[in-house]
Amino acid sequence: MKKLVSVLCAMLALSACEKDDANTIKIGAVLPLTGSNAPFAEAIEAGMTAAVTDKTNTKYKYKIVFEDGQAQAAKSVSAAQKLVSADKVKAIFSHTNAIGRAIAPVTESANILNLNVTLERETTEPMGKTSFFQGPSVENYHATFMHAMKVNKVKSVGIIAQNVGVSCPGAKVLAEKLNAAGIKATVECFNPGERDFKAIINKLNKVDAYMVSGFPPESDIVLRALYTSGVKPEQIYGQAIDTGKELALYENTNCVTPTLGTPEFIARINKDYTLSNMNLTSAAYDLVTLTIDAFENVGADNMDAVYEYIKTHATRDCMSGKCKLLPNGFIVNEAEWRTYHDGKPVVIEK
Amino acid sequence: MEYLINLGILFCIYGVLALSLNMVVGMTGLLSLGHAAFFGIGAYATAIVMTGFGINFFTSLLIGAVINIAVAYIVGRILSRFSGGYYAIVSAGLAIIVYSLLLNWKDLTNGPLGIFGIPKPSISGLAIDSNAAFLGLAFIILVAIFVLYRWIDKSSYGRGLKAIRQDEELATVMGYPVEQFKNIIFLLSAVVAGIAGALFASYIAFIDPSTFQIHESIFLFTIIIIGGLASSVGSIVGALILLSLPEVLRFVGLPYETAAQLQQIIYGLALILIMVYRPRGLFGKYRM
Repeated sequence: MKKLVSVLCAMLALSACEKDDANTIKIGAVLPLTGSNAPFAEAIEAGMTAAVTDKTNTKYKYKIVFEDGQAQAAKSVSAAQKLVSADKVKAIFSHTNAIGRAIAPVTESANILNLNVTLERETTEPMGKTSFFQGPSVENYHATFMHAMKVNKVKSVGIIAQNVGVSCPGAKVLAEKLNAAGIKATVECFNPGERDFKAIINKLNKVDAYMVSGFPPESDIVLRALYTSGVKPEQIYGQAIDTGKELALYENTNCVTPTLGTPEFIARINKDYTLSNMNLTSAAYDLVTLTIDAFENVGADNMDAVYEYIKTHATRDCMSGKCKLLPNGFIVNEAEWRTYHDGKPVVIEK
Repeated sequence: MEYLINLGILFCIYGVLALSLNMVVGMTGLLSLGHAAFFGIGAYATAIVMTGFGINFFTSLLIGAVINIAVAYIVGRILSRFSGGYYAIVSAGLAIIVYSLLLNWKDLTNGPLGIFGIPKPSISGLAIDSNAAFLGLAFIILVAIFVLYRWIDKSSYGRGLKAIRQDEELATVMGYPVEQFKNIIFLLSAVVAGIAGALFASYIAFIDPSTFQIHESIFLFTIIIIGGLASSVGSIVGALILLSLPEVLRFVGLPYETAAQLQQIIYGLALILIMVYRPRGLFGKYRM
């Protein structure tokens, strides 16, 4: 026991001795590095790292400091406090609206950037001057999904949505829109932790298309349950979720999500990070790129100028399609409809 | 410094929670896994009345306490028929029901999106908006609950609870109103857990149902097992260890690629070692 404590103390002392160049700007990342949400963290980490790698010949060096928040508010706040106090970061990056909002008081108090990528819809409530979140526009991807339904002449849709974030409430709004457009839509919501979806699939029997909205592992299990129950891959749509890995296993499955990025970007991320689920990757890439541009142009001493730079430049053509800044600091992405062939996404329409 | 203050506040909140759980588990020997429910009810009561009705934090504490008393009264009457593992299962059922309500009762709780913008407390119009001031408030509450725990522990009521813990049938034969004693301590611990919930909601300023799942009950259980059953000091030390150890590990120079995973393994190993060398926990009076 004493030896273990000694080793830990020695490692602690060594880590305390690490020094960074004064010219280095640290960007903190509070992500769910462990646990069931870890795949999202991997996707974000890939986007952040790729953005820093791509920015060469910069005035400052950029270093990302990762901390595990385990997708829990209290742990994420502690991790954010550590990044502010010990690492002196200039920005904190996180995942999901909930964690971003939990961290916001910490970043506001420290006057640093609060950056967040989310798969949930945009929020329209005020978020504070230091917060910039990026995610899908619900209106945009509802419109894209409805367009896909019309193109494929779908008359009835079964929507299977997880009761997390806006998946379930969003699915109900989408169903209303579909019904109003003459496409019969039925919503079945399930809670996190559920594993058996046979009853739901049976209940939705004989619809033309199935839309799955949720998060792995549940969303992957739903997709597998659909395949094994005899639903054809072309009848299946993932919506605004990171089901890319599961959808890519089958030929002709569909997905409507924020834009994944250019084919070159997708190929690069697949090669360098062996990832295929990249809605978050492209959004993280965009947000880190924008942040680095801000620091490069206005420096890191005047944070108000950094916020202003981001506000001025956030609406642009970005890796996630067209990025558009809302008045509250939320940057919405364009949605795209794509299908999977040979394990690769092919964009049908934006 | 802000980081340490943050840890101090969380330590106070979880110290209060551990004391409240130790009243039921340690003092009385009832294996409750439902504490996350009372923690959540307290947090949501504060969040809803403060954000929705602009009611003061301290009034929200009272509202949360009343709701927790009502829930604990109903559940306590059912639970008092059980003991041991059966008690644990039924109390776990409470945690599952409350989590499910928080998740699905969207009109009241905003469902999985949670409630944000929960204000900080204020006393006579003076806002406790700095973390240092909040730490002061949380610490005062921790000390008050600690004193309450010690007072119960030393009282004749506390001796009755310990008698129930040792042998419920014998305590009944000796004339202790066992069911009443069990119900009262359950109500009291529910109210205390609700206070911790209110502090948590106000401090983090955002709550969603994921914080109040059954694994939170298991985490609290771990705190009091590590600290020691039926020990007020153990509750505090247990909370300190379980909250600070993962934070200390953030500073250990582990390889970047696997740091988060290694931290969890080291954390788990430390818990195993404590149990191997101190099977009664650090300050425990009893084994499970």
